[in-house]
Amino acid sequence: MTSTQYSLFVEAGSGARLGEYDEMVSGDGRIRQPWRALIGSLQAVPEGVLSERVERIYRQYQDTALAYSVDNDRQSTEVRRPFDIIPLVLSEDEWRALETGLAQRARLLDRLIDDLYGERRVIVNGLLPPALIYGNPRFLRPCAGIPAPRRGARLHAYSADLLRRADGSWAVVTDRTQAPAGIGFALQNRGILARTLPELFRSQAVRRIEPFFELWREGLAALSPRRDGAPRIVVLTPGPFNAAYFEHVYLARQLDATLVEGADLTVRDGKAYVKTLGSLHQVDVILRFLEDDYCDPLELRGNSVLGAAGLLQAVREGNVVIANALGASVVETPALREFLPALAEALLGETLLLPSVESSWLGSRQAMADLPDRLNDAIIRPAYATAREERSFHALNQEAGRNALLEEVRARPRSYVVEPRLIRSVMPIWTPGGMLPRPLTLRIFVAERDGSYFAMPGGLAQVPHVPTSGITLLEPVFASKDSWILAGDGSDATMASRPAHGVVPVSHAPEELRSRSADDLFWLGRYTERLDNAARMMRSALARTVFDQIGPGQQQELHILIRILSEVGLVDPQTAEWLPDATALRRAIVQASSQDKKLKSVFRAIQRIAQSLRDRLSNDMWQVVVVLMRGAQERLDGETRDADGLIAALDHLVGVIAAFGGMASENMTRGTGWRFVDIGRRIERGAYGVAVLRNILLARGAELEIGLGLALELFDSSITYRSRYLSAVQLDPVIELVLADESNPRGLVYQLLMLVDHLGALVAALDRDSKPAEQALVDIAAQTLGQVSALTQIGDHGEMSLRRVVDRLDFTRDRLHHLSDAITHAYFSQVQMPHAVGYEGI
Amino acid sequence: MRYAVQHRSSFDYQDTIDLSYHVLHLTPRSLPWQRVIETRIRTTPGTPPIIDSVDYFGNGRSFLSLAEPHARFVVDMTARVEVTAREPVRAAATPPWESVRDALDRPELPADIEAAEFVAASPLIPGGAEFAAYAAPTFTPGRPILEAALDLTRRIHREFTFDTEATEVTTPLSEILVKRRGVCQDFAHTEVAALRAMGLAARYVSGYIRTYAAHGKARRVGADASHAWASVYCPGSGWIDLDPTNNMVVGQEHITLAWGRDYGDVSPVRGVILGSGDHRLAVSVDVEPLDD
Repeated sequence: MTSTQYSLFVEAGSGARLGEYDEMVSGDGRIRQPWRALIGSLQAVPEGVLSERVERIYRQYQDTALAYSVDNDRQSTEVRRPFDIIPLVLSEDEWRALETGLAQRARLLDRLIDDLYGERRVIVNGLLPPALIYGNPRFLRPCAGIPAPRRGARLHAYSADLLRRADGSWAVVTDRTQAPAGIGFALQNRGILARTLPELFRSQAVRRIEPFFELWREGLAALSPRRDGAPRIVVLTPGPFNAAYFEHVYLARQLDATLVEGADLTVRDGKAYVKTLGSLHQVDVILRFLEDDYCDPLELRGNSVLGAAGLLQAVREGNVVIANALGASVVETPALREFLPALAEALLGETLLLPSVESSWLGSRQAMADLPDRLNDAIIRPAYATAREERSFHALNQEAGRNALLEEVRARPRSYVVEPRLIRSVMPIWTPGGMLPRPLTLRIFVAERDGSYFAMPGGLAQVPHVPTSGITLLEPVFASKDSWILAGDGSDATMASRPAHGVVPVSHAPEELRSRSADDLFWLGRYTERLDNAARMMRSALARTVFDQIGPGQQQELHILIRILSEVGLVDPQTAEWLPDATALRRAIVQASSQDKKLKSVFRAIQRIAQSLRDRLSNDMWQVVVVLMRGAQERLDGETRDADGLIAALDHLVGVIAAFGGMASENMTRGTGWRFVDIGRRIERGAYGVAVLRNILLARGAELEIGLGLALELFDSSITYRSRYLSAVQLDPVIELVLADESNPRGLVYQLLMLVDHLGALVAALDRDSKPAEQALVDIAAQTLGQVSALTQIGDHGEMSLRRVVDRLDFTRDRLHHLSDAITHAYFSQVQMPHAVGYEGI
Repeated sequence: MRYAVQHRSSFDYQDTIDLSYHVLHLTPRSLPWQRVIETRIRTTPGTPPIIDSVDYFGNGRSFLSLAEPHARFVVDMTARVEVTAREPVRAAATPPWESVRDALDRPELPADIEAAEFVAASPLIPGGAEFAAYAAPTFTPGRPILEAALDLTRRIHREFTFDTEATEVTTPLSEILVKRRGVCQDFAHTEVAALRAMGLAARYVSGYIRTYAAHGKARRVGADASHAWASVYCPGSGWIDLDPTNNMVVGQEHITLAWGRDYGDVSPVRGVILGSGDHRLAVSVDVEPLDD
């Protein structure tokens, strides 16, 4: 492909080789008309500026990718989709033909799906070989007999991958009827380009893509089986471990729909509901990005935990519409392509407008007989594989070799398709050294409203990111691009698309809180606070080991600290035996922070929860919880020897958590979501306070006195104490300050006050008739508060019984534990795992 | 012959379950040789409404869900059916098995097109060369299809050991072929797999066999539980049911519930519960002849 190269900004001839079409440059070496204005605008951008902008885009992409990788230890779900700034440009005339052709194809496939799950006349009448359908694992028999939606189609959102052949005509490589994968990325690409290089849009009118989404939303709403009221539309995602989760979040925003996972849905009385904190809300339309056989473990794939049991029955009873209809993926098979012209004649009475790439299903004897002759310039593809399965098929074949492949095909010819090696057109990608030609695949998206189809003006243009030959079927890494449809006169074009969202979308307006999210928010609060407490204690311990000789007072403090640290599992209880050897002790604590599984597991839990809360956290919050937190963890991991460095890393971590706390209280709407975060934090902080105080108060004599100073430090209350009491550290005032002072935000009473307040507010906010369990929570918190508040009076009476205080602390610890469990039961108990039950064999 | 059928499935859960869903294939099919006099499904607790529909294969399917705390769930099916003798088919007069294979490969007649569905692999019967190898000695050139199928039935009965401990519902069929042990379901799956491996159409049938033997005869195997057998398509004669567990052509001692590609299509009780998955299932079946 490097024989000729595009050079930057000059008409330098085609980048295409013989037999390839060049999107940008015509056969006589001139830039094609639709591209001229774009090239002119690119030329006008100073070269340094362009490089800088491209750098910025890559950085944004990387941040997004980082933000979406779940964690380092597990298999990464990182999204790596490099973006290229040069859009594909198509004239309006060319676009009109594509849109018409794809709309017809969508109608045809919809009719075919309809027939296959109904009368199956295409098989009875001999239009399709029975084995092509009956051997297809995507033919989901439990979905048969379900009527099409009252308004709209079974194939609601269709997309196709196209390539352009040497003669300039387009052909469909892949039909996608499962879900419109990639549409969120197309939306994002337009946003990025419009924001980063707005000047490109100024010289000509590019059709906007937002109107498509508005129409699509109307189409989704029209699917609703309910006639009254505004329909509730949800987007069903496999969840944050799916590589495309990001686009589900993005698209749900754009469609103004709630993003749900299967665990958020429940079926009752044949209706589908989304589980929220207060109650169940009926769902009318589900736009699914979950493969159809995963949607219902009861009747479809039994081991699926991603769907909702009974969903198919709810569809069957006509109470919810799923788009695309369950079972629609049966027509994705490339085996179908050669039959489409005849099917178009039979089902639509029309000639198929847009051809497929020429291919043959090997289930036919003729195709098998011809196979040996074709094999040199052809590719064998599995007929019924998902994209994922197909990738592993091709990888396996490279290893096993051609003979093994042929043997397999002869054993199961009906499972394979042969198609010619595809030659694609080329289009430029931008590199710092100039433009380079790359083979193009264009994905176009089509949606339906009231039974008629319309395309998103544009699409997802994909080219191989690394230089590879243009003729292999599957490329390892793709760069995606924006696609422009030039506007004719008076269409809905605008110069630049309105950049509605950034790279990562902004948070949605508050709405009913899903039970699962409430659970996640609660634990986000607990874990961040747990991390904070651990960091503070370790920092205090390390600060006392900086000098090689540890004084007797510090030794006693370290005894207490190690006791608390070992109680929460951060250090070995034997660590105290190293005293007074500072170096050895330091090493033990350093080890705890760098390798300790406990600390790491807390970090990991926070990352996991953040992923599953992705669509509820604002962009800024996301930065703190995921990006900064990960930075803090890496810094901590990096500091393995030096106490100073480690203390600085812990300072940094405490700062990041403070940023989270600040953001939670400043930036989160004071809704139920925020309350759950704060309930989590208060319970954790309360339990921490109890643990610290208990260990200090169990000491006697000099150690107790020293411990009181430590208590002030760990409760972050030293300054307050000094300014308030102006005296040496004494028992009663310390107890009063860290335990019973209602105005000390680190004190124990304060945590309980906040809990009473939050739990009371939740009861009031609940939209439910009976709420005894929730009310009981308030009572538990209030009762505990009473017990702790009473402790100051003990001091007032002079004779302070430490034993009694410790008893009250034990009581408080138990109540906090109980409260956490009770909150889980009262509010999150709807979050349960499905299990299959049935016969073990008959 | 008239029968009274009782089939009870009792689920005992370790913890209380708040929500459960079940799909049942528990309604006997009405067939030319099987008259369903009455059939009824009851559950304990008895609150959930049962929603009946007809599945892809024409079987009765019932859906029910229970949204109240329960630690035990019982499904009772009772039915009275009358089974009459089917027209006997002379095995030697059936077409050579190769001609059936070829007709199913490129089916043109409506009956062949319909039957072609049961040639393809299915989730629990993925096929494989070992099943063709197993069937090969039986399918000699030009042999009438039913003669070959009867021989296959006989061989499975002889070569396989009935053993309720050897397999689970998840045991792959290829493993059962190696072990040559299993229950009715495994026998039936093996026969279906072998027939399909020869390019023939075969389906899996779920049902019951009479519990009490006729006078002077031994009690049939599989009588105190759900039963299963295979069915082979013979052009001109239709589907012929064969019971490899008892080495017999299905006649008046069998009651048909449902058929499909394999067990997965017609599992009598399939459920999903939300909560802890630990459960015990007890099944009892009683098929009492009313005319003896």
